[in-house]
Amino acid sequence: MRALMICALLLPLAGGLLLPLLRFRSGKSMRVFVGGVTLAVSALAGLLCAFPPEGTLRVLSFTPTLELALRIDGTGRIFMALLAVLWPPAVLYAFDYMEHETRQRSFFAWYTLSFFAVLGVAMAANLFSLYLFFEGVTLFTLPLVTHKRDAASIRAGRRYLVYSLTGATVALIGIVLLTGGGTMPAFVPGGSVTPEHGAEELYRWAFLAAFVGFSVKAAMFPLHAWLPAASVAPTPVTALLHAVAVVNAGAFACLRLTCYTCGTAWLRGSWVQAAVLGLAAFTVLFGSVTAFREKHLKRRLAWSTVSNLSYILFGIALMTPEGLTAALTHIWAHSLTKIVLFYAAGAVLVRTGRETVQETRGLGKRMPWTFAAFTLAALSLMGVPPLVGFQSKWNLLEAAVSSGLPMGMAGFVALLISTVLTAVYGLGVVIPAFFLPPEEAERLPSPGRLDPSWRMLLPMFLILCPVVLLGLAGAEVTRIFSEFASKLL
Amino acid sequence: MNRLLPLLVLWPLAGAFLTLGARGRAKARRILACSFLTAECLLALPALVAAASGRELAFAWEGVAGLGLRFRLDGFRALYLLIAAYMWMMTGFFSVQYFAHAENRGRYVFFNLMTLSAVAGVFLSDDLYTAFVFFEVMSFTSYTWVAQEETQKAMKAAETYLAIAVIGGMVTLMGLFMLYHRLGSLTFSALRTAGETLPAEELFLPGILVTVGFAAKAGMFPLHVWLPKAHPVAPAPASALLSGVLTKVGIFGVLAVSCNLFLNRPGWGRILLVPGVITMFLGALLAMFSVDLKRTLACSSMSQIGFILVGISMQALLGAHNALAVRGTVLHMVNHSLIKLTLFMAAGTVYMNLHRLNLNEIRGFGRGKPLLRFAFLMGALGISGVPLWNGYLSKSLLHESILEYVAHLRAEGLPTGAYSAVEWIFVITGGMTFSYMLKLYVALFREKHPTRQPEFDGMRKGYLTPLSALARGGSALALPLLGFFPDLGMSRIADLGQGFMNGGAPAHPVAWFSGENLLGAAKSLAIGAALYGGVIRPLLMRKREGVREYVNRWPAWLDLEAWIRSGAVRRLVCDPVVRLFRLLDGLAESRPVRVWIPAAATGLMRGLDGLAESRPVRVWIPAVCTGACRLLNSLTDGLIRLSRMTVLSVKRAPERPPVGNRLTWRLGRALDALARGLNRTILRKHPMPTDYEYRLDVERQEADRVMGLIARSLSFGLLLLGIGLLAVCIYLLSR
Repeated sequence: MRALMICALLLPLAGGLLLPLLRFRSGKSMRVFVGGVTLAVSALAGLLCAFPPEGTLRVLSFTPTLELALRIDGTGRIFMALLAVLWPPAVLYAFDYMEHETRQRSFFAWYTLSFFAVLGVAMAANLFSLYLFFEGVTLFTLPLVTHKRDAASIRAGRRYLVYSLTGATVALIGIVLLTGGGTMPAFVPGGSVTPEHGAEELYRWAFLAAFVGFSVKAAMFPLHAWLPAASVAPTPVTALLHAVAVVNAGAFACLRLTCYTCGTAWLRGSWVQAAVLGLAAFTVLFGSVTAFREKHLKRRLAWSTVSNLSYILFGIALMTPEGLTAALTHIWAHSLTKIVLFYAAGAVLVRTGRETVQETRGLGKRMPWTFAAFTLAALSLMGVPPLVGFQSKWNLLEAAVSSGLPMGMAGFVALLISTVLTAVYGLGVVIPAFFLPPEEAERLPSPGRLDPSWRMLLPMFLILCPVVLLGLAGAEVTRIFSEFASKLL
Repeated sequence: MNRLLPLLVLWPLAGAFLTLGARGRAKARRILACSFLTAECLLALPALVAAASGRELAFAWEGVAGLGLRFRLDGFRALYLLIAAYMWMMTGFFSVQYFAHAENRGRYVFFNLMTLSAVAGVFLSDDLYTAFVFFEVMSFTSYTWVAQEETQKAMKAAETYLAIAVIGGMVTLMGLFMLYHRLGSLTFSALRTAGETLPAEELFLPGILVTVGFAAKAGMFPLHVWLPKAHPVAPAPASALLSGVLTKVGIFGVLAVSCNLFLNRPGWGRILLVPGVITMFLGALLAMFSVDLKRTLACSSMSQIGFILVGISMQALLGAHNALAVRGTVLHMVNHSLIKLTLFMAAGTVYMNLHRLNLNEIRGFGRGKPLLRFAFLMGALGISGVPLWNGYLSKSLLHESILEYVAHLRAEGLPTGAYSAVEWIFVITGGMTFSYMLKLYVALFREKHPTRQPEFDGMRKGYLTPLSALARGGSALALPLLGFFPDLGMSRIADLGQGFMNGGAPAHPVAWFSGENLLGAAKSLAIGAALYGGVIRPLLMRKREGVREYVNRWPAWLDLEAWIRSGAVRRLVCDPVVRLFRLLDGLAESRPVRVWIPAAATGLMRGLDGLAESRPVRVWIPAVCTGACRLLNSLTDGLIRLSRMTVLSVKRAPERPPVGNRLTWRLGRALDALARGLNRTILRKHPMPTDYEYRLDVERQEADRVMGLIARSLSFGLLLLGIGLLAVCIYLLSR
């Protein structure tokens, strides 16, 4: 059973590496290959989530203390299940979206390789393995950001690289300090690092460095600027990677660092917790305010991601079981809703070539299905009951209140203000789309419906099903997640 | 039977989705919607019967949507459910004609049914959480009502509506959190227990926060800004529902807090009374100034909500003796719903035919249309509180409850001034109600339009379809019937409401037409007539080209929202925040960080690079450093030396001169040196001898010898003297 873990990693790796080498007779056969690989990996990952193998699988041993090892535990299962659920619809969407783009083969090769890296992050059993896969995520997704190879995307790619590598370096410094030089401890619920007597302050600084370093991927202020810039990438990339996989990998790494490596006993109530909470709460507000100002639709969604990822980091930094539960719920809630929002924005872009909020006015009547999906997802993002977004926000607010920290209360207020702003920037797209006349109607292609084909619509509605269902079953979801979370502290 | 409760909520929801299926077939959709609305009304009937017979139904849907949904049916809820279903049905019938040529009908029907579902959910809810969930859904679905026409004005009003709804919802959510955190549960029974056990001070803040969102929907000052804007632009059936039911949904929330968490707490009553009185008076004032038919009705709604809020605060103030206030509140809610249904449908009839709402443009439309006149008159008489109509009954009860509290205060010897003032405002507002309804009535049914009157008269037939006429007549007929037979209808309705509000039973049956009550009504009506004659006719109308017309004399700068929108808030609050954030966003990529700091760093490095080769660095610094090092190196030695010289100095052994004694030797040496110096300078030719050391020594020895001689001779002399003295002594003694 444990060998399945390595299969689940090798399959996308091999698929991605083989793709440029194989000769396909048509685009269709390539799509069948990519789809097949993705489905198989998803199925494997799903199987592993459902029946997690016991124990740790040692893959490579560099030195006695540095080894590449895999293991599937509670939070890893939650993250992996999310990936397994979202990847196949995303690939389906990408097929249609990328139809008119060049160099599809390299695109899908990197897309599949990213799957490998992100799965690795979910399965890593110690900090060293996590770090390796984490860097892998950076490198494999870089060609996807620069896929268009125009000046803007290359600039965005460079920025992404600089931010990510800087973050990883800072994180590495922190880790090395934390773990006393080179020994990378395996993940233990509750953490294994205890500061040496008299060196607590140093350890706290090291934790801050590591947390901030990992949170670059989750786009926490002040190292957030890469994410909105990266929205120049093709929509399947922004949707799946920059709203789900990469950013959540950052948040997930922070979770591993906080709850599985450091342990929270010596962090709780210290200035470093206040600092991290403050940064996250500030980013929540900051992202929302900027999203509200942003006129470009995809960038607006990216700013919203900045804000929402900090909800998750905030939940982690609360370091209470409620906070972790809320963070895990929000990982799911945000991913499901944001990916649909991006899909809808991408569908608008592909079908009409319109990118700004101003230009999407009045399109609701021409693309009813697309905007229906967008509306439902936007409502969930706002936290309208009974959708899943409400559940996660409720959990988060509850955790913030019950933490009893002054920063928790500050975050509570920030979350509420951010919710109002989310409503403003979400509905600021939906309402003009449905209730205002279209901009330059004569320049739209042919009269009639402009909705994209089923291959783009189906993923949206497939993903909306859990948005509604998980929202209705919110209490059950919270219960399951809180079971995982309660073991961590 | 308990499953009836979720059915009541889900039924309209199912209907909503079914109408989506009837896309493009307007008639099928119409029939579907009407039949679903009628069926909902029929479903609500057995619920009311069950509740009236004392059975309480409850249904909990655990685990759904977070904390689970809990429904309960008691008299008040069943009553309001029925009223909502009834009003929906009536407006549904009416909207068939109203929307006959409108666009986006499918959307209206869909969201109309959705809103009914949400409203049913709120009215059936048994905890604040369920109420809040459905309340939020209702806020969003009812947005489409306001935005239905898609005109610029409608969009602006809808924006205000949504903004107030979203912000109000968030404030309520914050309060819910505080309560949930404090109590661990949000069911009404838990709230009541908490209200009885916990100190009030702890509950005021969460209570106020929870109330804000609900009160905003009810139209309480200062969150009423959406109300006068949204009603005129919404389609008439929707206006009727907004005013008749949605405001009551807000009141339901206020009641849920007030009658459970703050049951019989006078402090809460005082908090609620102030905005209540302001809402009551301000609404009536705005209505008097308004020259738009639907806006007048909307402001009137606001004013009536103020009456209800006064009733709720009186409940809290009167404590255990609040039976009158409870009954007055329930009845005024019911009356207002029914009256506004009638009035807004009348306004809808006008709008449907003329597409105008300004009083100057619609005046005279009602002439010669008996059904319209009947419906409007019933509504106007009802809301003005004319005896024998339903509004009189509820207003009398509310008025009596204020008087009761004044009497109660007087009995305890406390000052009553403020509450007497409230009573007077109450009576005056009643008069204002009469005056603006009179204004509308005169405009519609007495005056003639200067130019279009023949055209209006030509619309006598066919301005209403039979279905609309049924909706119109049916809703209007209920008002006098309820008023004529108070004990038959109103008392029972009031009985139904008591349980929900946890009110006491009345000590004695109400004397509906007692002298005191009739006097209050008469006072109000007299004031109203005076206001109409003394304010509206002379001040709010003006003659132009021989025709008297209505003018809007409400100063524009008093519009609260305009002030907020004008930019003061934006400039003072939003702009600085946005600017700060923009600054921060640019920080990592800004010119200072991207260019200046690297440039500075490079410059610094280059400077350092050159520095290493420069003379100061190559020579001076090493020299200084070496010097310093040496200094430092010798520092300790120096210290030792210094100390040896001072503190630790060793006493030198006395020097033995080689020749002579110390004096002669030193002196001799000095003289020798002097002599040598002289020899070298002045006496070069004839040098002096330089053996003073020796010569002085010789001299000294000579002196010593002489001194020895002297001493010795002296001592000999002294010896002789001594002997002599001794001899003298002996001689003297021997005598």
